[in-house]
Amino acid sequence: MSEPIGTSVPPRRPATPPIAVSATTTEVNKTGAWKYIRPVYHDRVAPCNQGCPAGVDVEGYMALLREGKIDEAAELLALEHPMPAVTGRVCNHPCESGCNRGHFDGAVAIHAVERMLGDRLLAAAPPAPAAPTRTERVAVVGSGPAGLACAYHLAAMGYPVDVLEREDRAGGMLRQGIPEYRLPRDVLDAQIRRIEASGVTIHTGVQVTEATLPEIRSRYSVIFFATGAYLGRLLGVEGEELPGVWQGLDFLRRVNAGLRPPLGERVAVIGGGNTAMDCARTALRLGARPIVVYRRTRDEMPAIAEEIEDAWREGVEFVFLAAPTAFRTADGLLSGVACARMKLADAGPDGRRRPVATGESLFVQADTVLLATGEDPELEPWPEEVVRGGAVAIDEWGETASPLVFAGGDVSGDERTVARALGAGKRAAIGIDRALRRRAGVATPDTSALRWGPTGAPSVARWRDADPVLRVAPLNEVVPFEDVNTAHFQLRPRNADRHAALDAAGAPFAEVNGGLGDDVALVEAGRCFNCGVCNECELCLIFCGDVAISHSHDGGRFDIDMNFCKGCGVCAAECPRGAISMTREGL
Amino acid sequence: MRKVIVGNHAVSWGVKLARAEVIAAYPITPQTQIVEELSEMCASGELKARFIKVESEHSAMAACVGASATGARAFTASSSQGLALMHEMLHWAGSGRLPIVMADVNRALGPGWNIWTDQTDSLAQRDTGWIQLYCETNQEVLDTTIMAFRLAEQVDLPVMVVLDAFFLSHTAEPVDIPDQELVDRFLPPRRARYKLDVDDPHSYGALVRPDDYMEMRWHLQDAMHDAVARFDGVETEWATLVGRSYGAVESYRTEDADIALVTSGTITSTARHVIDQHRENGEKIGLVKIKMFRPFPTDALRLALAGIDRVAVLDRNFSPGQGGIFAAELRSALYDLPAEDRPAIYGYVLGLGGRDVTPAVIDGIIDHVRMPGIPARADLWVGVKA
Amino acid sequence: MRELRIHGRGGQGAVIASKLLAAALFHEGRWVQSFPAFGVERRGAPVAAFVRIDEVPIRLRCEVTQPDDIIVLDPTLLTAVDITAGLKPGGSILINSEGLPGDFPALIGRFRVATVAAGEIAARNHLGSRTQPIVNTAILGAFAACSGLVGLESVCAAIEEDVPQHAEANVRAAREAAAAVQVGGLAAQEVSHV
Repeated sequence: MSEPIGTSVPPRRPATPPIAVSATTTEVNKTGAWKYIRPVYHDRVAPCNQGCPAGVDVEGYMALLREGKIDEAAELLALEHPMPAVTGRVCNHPCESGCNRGHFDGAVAIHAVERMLGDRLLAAAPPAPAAPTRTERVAVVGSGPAGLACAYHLAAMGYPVDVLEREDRAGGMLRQGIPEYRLPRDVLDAQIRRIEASGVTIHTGVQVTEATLPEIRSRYSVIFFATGAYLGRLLGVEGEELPGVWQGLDFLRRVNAGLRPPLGERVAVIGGGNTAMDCARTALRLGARPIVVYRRTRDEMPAIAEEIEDAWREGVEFVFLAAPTAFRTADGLLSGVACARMKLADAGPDGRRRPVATGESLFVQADTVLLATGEDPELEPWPEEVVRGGAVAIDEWGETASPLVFAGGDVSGDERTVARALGAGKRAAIGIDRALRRRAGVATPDTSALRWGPTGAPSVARWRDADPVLRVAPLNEVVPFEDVNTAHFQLRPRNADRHAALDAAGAPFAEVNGGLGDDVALVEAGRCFNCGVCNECELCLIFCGDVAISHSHDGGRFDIDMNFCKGCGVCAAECPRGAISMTREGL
Repeated sequence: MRKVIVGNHAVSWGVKLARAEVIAAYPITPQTQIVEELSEMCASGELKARFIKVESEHSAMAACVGASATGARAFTASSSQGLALMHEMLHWAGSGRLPIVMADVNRALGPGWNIWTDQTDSLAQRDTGWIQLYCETNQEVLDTTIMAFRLAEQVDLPVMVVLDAFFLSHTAEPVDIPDQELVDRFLPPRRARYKLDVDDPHSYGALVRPDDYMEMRWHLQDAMHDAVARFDGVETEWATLVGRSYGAVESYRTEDADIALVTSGTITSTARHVIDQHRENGEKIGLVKIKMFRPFPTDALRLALAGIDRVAVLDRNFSPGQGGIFAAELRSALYDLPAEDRPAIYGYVLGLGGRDVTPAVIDGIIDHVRMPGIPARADLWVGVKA
Repeated sequence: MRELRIHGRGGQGAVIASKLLAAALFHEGRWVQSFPAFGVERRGAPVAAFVRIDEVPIRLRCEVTQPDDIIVLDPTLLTAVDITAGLKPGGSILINSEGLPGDFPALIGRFRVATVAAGEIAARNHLGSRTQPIVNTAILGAFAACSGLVGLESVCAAIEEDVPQHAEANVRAAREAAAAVQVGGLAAQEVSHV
């Protein structure tokens, strides 16, 4: 059987369309019915935010800088941080250690961006002081970073705060310990003036002792102790009492006070932390020839890497794997340090490799020795019940065993950095507010949602319900590098700080690190991945094959039309910053 | 405005006057000047088009396909190996019925590496669903470029405007450049029959089963058929405005002729010069120029060659294993004519890879084709060295 | 129809000279065609460009093999290439040279020879560098004066219209060269006017 061959030339126009086009709009095809997983926008936590011991919203201000909102970025920073111009210079920036960009082309130079914003705040008109809305008065003892942070955040909450400082100038370790070439005093002074302008009153020359404590307790509802750690540790070796063997911190305090103690030619600095680096570089600036004696190697030194680098570059000498065993004299004068030669054994409980003696010895000549192996807090006027293990014991929010007595910073045995002290001050401010509100019978917010990530410091803005950043379905988890889609970023190496050479003849204490400068700092901010936080880059919208994503009309960022989202996951895969995750449908 | 410009810039001017909206191209000698000039026109703002830099010719055509699918007027240009690399995407434009316009500067394919003129590159793309229009002068290049957009958008088919390497692309001669206002009257903004539209979303290019594919191909054939007549209409409209037209097929001095040369591209021009000389000697010889190769203008050619005894087809191209491509197509078009009406067709392959075709070469072909008793056999290769 | 060939070296502007000459002739109402020798050449290598001139539209689309006129932009080409190849007997040669037509005895007698110190004129007008002056506009001025084929004013107008940089200096060079050209050969007074 044959069938007719049909239309011949010229035929009718067939009903089939001329191209492969759907007869109806694709909207009738509810591809959403296919999905078994669906995308969800979640703002997560950038590793820098979790890494910051002071609880700063680093990613938040980077996102504002990307939009060109420099003033808003500076304000967001100031919300969580009383002294960015200081930490932009002296912080050990653990935020950068966590930065996901470090796995790509170098961590964002967050410290330099912070410094730019901090300097911008100092150049601007001071903020109007917060009007006191609370009747409870708070005394803060000590005007170092922990004390000033606590006072700053409490003042913002409406508390009248008095800071009591025993020295004649505020600043604590920032002024006593940190050399001018790292932290120019005009910057420090301006930063403290800005804190005062925000509503904090500082009383200098006021020493709180066991005798004066009861009177202070009667005048204030709460006391926060942030008295620091100023007692230099001894090594317990022969000759430590000899003239010429000094505590490094005492040496720094004298130089920072304007004195120029005679050092002789060779100065041995014992230790590998920031105090040791400060001592060595200060001695260098006074014309001496410093030698750092450290019992481990450069890799184990706890000092900030840039400080070690600067010391090295300026000509400080290092003797590694040497542990002092005795200080020696010749002709009645100090002649040097006898040391045991060490080697590195397996890692100890702190994770660092332990030094063990090899049996060999060496001798380091020195006219002066500066001990920089750590400091301990003065525990007067503390009652016995609040002291544990040589430091003041506190709970998560800074409260001691004595009710309404709070403490924090170096005095409580934290890792002794400026950022940690700032975080301790902030935690105590939240703790004090919480305690006082509870006493007044007021319900207090849940503290479990305050931290930046599972191990981060808290956000005081969140505690105050004053966080200006839109957060969509936030998840308190940190974005790992694997969740960053680097295909959407170009390699742009980290910008290096500008470093001035040591100028012994001219101004040896002039600031060494010049930062990046405003323009380069903004470029550097543009390197931020904005890990975990949607910045409306629109790649999800562009890549969605079902045109299911659109800009939100109800205050969010994007809406997904689940009638058409078929759960392919391309939005989550393409999201450069891990702000979209796929979840099981119906669960 | 009349200017002395090279053929490549005649294309650029045509594209500018046609107000192309998207241009995507990758450079290749001898086409580069076309898009170089267009990129400068875009940069200076005199042409408000999106210029897309791409990493290959395949991507250039892909970009044009995407742009055209949104309803934009898209243009690209290429040559030789570049055009060959586009091949797959040429089908997407043709069978996708997207009215893209492309200039192809005819250049020989390698190896051996050769940048000179040869039509094999464009002719190798004859089955991709593109209309092909070959040009003889820079004026024709400019006019054809503008007309190509009009034709393409009338029949929803892409158009390839073809010009010879160097003999047109790099040769400067006077060209009348029409006023924008006049071109705007001739070529209104594109109104796409189908276009990507988020407010009326349709799916495009999806799977088509055996029970529909053939009908779509019939539509394509029908559109090609339609294009022959439409081209006449487009030319008539253009001629009313500027006084110039070319014809899908043009007869030159074929009245009472016994012998006709069939040519395309710039060989036509030199051949006209030769025909004039022979006519001065009283010889009955003429010329038929093929401008439109796809769709193949069968009816027009039958008409043009009616009454001619012998036809010499000059092919600056060849299909290996077959011969000159125009000759083969012409034989096929005339085969079913009654034997007494069908001229004898002689194929001459010449000028490959840019070898010069001088009046003397054409004289030699005329001498050959009128020799008594020669059989119409496989194509003769002209001037191959011993 | 008249056909002309320009010899130069890559980078000296021979192709631009051919285009400017075509434009100048077009302004005078002629039909013209100009094109480079088809191919690829590097800077410094000998190159050529062509101009066809007629009173009717030009149909020939093949290479120029028997020119009527030759222009030589660089005197060192005289020993590098056969600049007279295909030149019709009695044809003209204009050479950029500080010498006089009589200094080219191999050419004089067979062809009309003219010379102009176009390099010196171009350098004086700061066209190109002193060691590598760009002579194409100067030599066109000289060609206008010695050939009578095209008016000097048309050449200057074409330069003003089509040379994007230093148009004024180029026009000055063309005028100076027109005044300085030396004509010799078959008979100096036998300057043809088409």
